[in-house]
Amino acid sequence: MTDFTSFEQDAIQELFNLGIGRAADALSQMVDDEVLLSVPHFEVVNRQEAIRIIQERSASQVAAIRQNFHGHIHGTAMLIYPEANSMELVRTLLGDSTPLEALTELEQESLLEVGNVILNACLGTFANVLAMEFMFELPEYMRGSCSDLLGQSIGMDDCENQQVVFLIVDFITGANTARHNTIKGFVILLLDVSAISELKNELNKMGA
Amino acid sequence: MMVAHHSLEGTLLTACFAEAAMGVVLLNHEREVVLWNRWMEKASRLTALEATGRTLLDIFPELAGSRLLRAIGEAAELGLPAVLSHKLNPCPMPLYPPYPSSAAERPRMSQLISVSGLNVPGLPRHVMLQIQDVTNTVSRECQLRQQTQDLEQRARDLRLAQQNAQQANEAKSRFLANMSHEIRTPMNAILGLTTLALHADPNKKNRDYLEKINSSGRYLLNLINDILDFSKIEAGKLDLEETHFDLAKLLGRLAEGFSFQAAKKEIELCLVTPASLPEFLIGDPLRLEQILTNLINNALKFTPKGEVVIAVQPAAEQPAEPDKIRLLFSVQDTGIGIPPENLAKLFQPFTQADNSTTRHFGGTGLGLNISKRLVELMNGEITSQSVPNQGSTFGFTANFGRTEAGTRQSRFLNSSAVLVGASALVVDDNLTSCKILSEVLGSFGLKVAVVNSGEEALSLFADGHHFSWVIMDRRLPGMDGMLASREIIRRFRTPKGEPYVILLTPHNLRKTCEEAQEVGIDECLTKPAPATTILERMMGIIHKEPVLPDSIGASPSREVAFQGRLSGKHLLLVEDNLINQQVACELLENAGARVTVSNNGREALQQLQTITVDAVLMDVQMPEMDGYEATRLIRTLLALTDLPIIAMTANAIQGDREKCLAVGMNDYISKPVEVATLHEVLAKWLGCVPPQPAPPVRVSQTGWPSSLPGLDVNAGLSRLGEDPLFYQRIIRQFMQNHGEDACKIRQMYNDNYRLEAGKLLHTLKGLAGNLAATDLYHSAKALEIALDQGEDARIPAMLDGLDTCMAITQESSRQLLRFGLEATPEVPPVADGKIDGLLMELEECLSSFNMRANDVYHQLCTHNPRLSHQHSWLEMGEQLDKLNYAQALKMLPGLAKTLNRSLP
Repeated sequence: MTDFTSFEQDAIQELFNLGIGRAADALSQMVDDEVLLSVPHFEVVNRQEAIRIIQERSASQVAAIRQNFHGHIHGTAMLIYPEANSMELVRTLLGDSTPLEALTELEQESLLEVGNVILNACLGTFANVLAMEFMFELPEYMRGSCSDLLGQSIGMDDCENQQVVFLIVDFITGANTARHNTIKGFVILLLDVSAISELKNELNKMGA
Repeated sequence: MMVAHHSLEGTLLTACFAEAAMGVVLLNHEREVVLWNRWMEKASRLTALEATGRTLLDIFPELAGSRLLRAIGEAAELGLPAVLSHKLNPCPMPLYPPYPSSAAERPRMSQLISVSGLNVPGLPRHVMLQIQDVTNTVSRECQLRQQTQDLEQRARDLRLAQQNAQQANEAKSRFLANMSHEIRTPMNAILGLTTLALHADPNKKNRDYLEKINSSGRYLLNLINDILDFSKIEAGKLDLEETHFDLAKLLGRLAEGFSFQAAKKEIELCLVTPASLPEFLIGDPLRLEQILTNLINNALKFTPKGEVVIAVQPAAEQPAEPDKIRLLFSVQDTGIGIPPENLAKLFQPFTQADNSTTRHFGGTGLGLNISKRLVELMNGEITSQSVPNQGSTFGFTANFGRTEAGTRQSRFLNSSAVLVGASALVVDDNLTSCKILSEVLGSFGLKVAVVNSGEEALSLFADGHHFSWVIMDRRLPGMDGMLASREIIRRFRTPKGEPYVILLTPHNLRKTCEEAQEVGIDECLTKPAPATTILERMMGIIHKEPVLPDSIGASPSREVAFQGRLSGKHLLLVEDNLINQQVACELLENAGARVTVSNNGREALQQLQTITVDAVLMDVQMPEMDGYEATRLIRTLLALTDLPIIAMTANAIQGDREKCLAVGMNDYISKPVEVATLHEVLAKWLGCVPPQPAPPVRVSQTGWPSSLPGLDVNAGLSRLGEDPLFYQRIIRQFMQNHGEDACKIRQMYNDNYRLEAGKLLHTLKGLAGNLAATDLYHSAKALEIALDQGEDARIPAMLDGLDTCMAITQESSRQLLRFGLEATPEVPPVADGKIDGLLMELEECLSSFNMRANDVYHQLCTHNPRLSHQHSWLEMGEQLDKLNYAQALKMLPGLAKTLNRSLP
């Protein structure tokens, strides 16, 4: 039984809100401009559902930043954007309005850094709660169809019904200026079965 | 051992890191450097020895508070990895790329740094930095970006330039449309006023000036039309008409129009039109004429001597649709020719074969381009061939619709059977012309002989050869055509009337025709004539169908017909330009109409609330309220839905007509207004061809001769709508009012009142034309010309001639009046009492200077439509319009007399 109780869900959401808040601070510092991140939607769903939601709300082609982790437990954190939005995000953050047909190499690196900052914030919070040592891999930049990207995440049993923590993140840049822009992205945390039960344990300890 | 192995492995690994092709730095849990590879030594200028054991902040103090240090902290504490991209952290560490110049000038290395935590069991967490040199990537990307920006800027510039060009082009079109309007308005005044002035019998010198002004004006108008056509075609706004037209007539008219120009340069103009061509086509005759005119004009212009041959034939390839026909037209000259390299350029706008020819030959250089585009609109192709100093041939194909009507050939096939086997002699010095004529005659079934001079023709006859037909060119070397014809007729004509002689004149001079008639020539044709015309005239000669000589041609009789055509009609002229007001007023008043003038749409609306008119002539562009708005309001506000409104506008751009009709106007006349068009359009909407009620007595014409000496009864009747009663009445009036004119004219001439004599002659000529008093007409006309040109030596004899003609006409008239109808009492169209009443009322009004006189007069006119265009009536109307009542009163008895009344 790997379903989360509503208490557990609330607790996870609270943790992620904290993490996203930290990410916003870090980004603002990096680009020297106020960047607001909000989480309008949070859900714990299975992988199929996650794919469906992303496909519903975004384009078929997506860009993603992936960070795998292992150690005691295995998992993957991903930040996904519709491909066009990913470019927009980088440009907006860099205050760059030059339209280029595709992300250049250097811009991919920037997207990687931005994704890394957000995922680190979430994963840092997560690691803190679980209070165990993880091995984090360096972030990777990927592009392709949503199901491909989610499907090929590290080999785990029972992929179909695997629970994922799913967040929609709105990037709001230049809130009070002409550059004001809101860009939607998706943060996904894929965990293996032992990771989930470990997480449930720790969450319930916090609640107790 | 273990340690040794361990240390051996460690040494190997250290060596790996040392040689790595990127920067590798390893920090321990104290964040002190434990590994600083060779790449780092080069980039930082610090040896591993110098770096080891120190923190990064110690080595590079500028890193304080940097993202790199934060990332190292996160990696050390939580094991979280980080990537530092160049865009967000351009050069985190003071490293330099390995360029061979001095460090001071070198830019810092652009870097991409990865930070990862290393978890090794049993050891505190270490942090590894990997540094990539992305300087080259950055500069490549910079270049790329710069190029892209440049391209985009260029694209923006081009878009802007294109927009500007488009705007300029639109402005040009608008300018052209406006200019055409602006130019046409004064042109209207110039052409209209010169026409009026020419009608007012100017003296010889002034007539010459006026005619030159008029023809220059028309030339200018043609130029403007060319430019307009060009811009219309450019804008894709030129549509072709689809109407029935008579191809042979069009070609004949065209050839006739050019015959004078050709004759002046002594160029032989030939026309090749096989009789197998369809008689009627569906297409745009005006545009076809425009193309041909352009090509013929060019041919004549660039041909100093020789010939110009215009030919038409069905094209080799016919369109698939059975109701279409493709014709091939060609215009071939023997002119100066065009070098091949210039031939292709000819069809480009604003281009002439040789720029220097512009000065020699004039012209806009638009003609051929317009022709080419028009031909393309007709689904055809225009081609040109030329050999310098030998001549050029311009040909084009065009598609037309066929009509139900058969070809002339089929129509004439039976009737022309009489010609088959008859002999014909062609006398012409031009070989091409001879060839064409003998082919034409041959195609009718005639046996044709050809000679090249009058002398040869005569000697053939003298040798006993006989020909039924002689086709004689007027212009021959040696003995001219007229003289040769005279001799042939005098010496060799049989009692049967053979040979029939047809004289071809380079252009149809009336004098030539008159002379030809005296000589006994059967027919005078303008050269070149289409085959069908030749056949028609030949049939006419055989069947004794006299074709009225051109001297009673269309124009004078049409002019006469306009007189009084609009009498009794009240028109509202809405026009802001004073000169144009005058032109239109006089043209309309000359036709007997009463004209009220409004200066703009608003005035017109006001006036229409108080007066009733028969039609409105509406200018389109006016101050205050334009013609469109005025029309709309007349239709809606005043609810005058049936009132004919005719637009008169100088806007010549297509679509104006549609716009006029769309706002509720009935028709459209383009300025400059052509007199004939104006009258035709008005007649159409006013229905004011002289009313033709069923004649009270339907006369069988059996008792009438078809002609009497000096009086072509049939022609007269047909001109008066086959109404014998009407004809008789007019003849009677003519005798009453003008019987003494010949004497009067002689008297005036003798008393040196030349101007007055000329005026009366002019009137007499017009009336005689109307009556089909042919001899009198010619006689009066000749005298008028002689008087005008001051040929005084000829005048006394001509005055005698006029007397004779008048006597003959009167005698014939008396005869005609005796035929049957004289007894029939003339029934006035309204009750006698009413006419008497109106006459008395008119007298009263005139005596008391009451302005009702005009109304009463118009009532009388309405009751006597046939009289109302008579001279005395028109004059009365004129005096009334001028409010000259005293004069009108004096004229009243004369008026009453025409009504068979006498005033107490």
